[in-house]
Amino acid sequence: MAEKIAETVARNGIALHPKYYGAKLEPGMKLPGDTRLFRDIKLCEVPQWIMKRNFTPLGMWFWVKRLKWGWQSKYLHVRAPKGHYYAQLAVCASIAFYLSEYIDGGIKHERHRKYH
Amino acid sequence: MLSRILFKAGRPVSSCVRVAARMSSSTPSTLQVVDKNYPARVQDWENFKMPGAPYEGMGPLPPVPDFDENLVRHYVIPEYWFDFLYPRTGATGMYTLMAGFSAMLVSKEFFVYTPDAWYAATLLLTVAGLNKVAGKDIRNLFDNMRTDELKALDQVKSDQMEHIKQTVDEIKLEQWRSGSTEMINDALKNNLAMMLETEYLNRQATVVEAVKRKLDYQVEVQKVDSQLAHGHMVKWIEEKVMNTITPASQKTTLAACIAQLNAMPAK
Repeated sequence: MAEKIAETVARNGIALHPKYYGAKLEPGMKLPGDTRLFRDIKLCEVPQWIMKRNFTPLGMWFWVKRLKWGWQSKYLHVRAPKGHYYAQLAVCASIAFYLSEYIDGGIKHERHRKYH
Repeated sequence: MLSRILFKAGRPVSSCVRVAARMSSSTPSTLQVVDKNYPARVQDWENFKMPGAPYEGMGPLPPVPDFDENLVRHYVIPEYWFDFLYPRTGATGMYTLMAGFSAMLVSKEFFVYTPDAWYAATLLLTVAGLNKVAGKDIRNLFDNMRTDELKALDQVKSDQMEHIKQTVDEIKLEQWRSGSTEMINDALKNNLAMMLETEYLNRQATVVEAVKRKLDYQVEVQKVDSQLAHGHMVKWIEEKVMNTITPASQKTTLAACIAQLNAMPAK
């Protein structure tokens, strides 16, 4: 990831396009300590990786922003978008709503059996 | 130029009348250069430098990437998850995992079977059915809504190119036509030169003839004059002679001639 950022920085003229959001290194920017992709991290190293993340409120906000922009750049801000974004949105919303109901709602009372 | 865009919502622009009326020739080389340097869409956007940019990096944003539909399966499950499980479980690994996972959820009643679940299932089935039946048409509709404007803008450029090509063809035709009149004009010119020369020669001959006639007249006049003079002279001499001839002189002359005649045979 660092190589990619360096490569993009070497190419002058990168605007803050959604595709390259966050790819421009400015002085005063704080990169995370471990810049590998999550899929490249071994399972035993995951707790270590989690501890290095930025758990401040602003950091959490940036995490949400990165998630949102990455997801939308992949499925919505493309040349010929189809319905994948909306289908995934519906599924995620349904899951989130069901989880909210299960954790804090009345669906636990609608269970058919008491002991599983 | 803007007046050419007769853009109505939902319908692509096509000035078919002008385009179809005439089969244009291939693009001339000068226009090919223009077409190559000013394409409808910049392909090499990475190396494109905005001409006259006030700061580095200003310019058109890179074009958004093409969407790869093989990235997700059934619209919601990323293909990466299938590929992740493929080495261990094969092609059906993810499906088995999902089936087992949902079985676990239902059996432990993390997912409670309510009427809402039934509604969700029927909704899913209806949407899938609709997608199968009318999905392609709806997707084409949205894509056409997106591309109509782009097609109209491209059409403006292609219309202008066609117009320019037709103008070039017309100019070439006119040149060809005027070229053939060149030959006709040459022939007429040659004809005219010949005619002029003929006329000149005719007039020259006329002049020569007139002059010759005048001179002949003078010659004839002189001849007549000399003839008259000669005749007159002869007559005068004859008259004079006749006047001198008297009978007496005749006799003497006659006697002299006889004497001469008598003297001749003696020689």
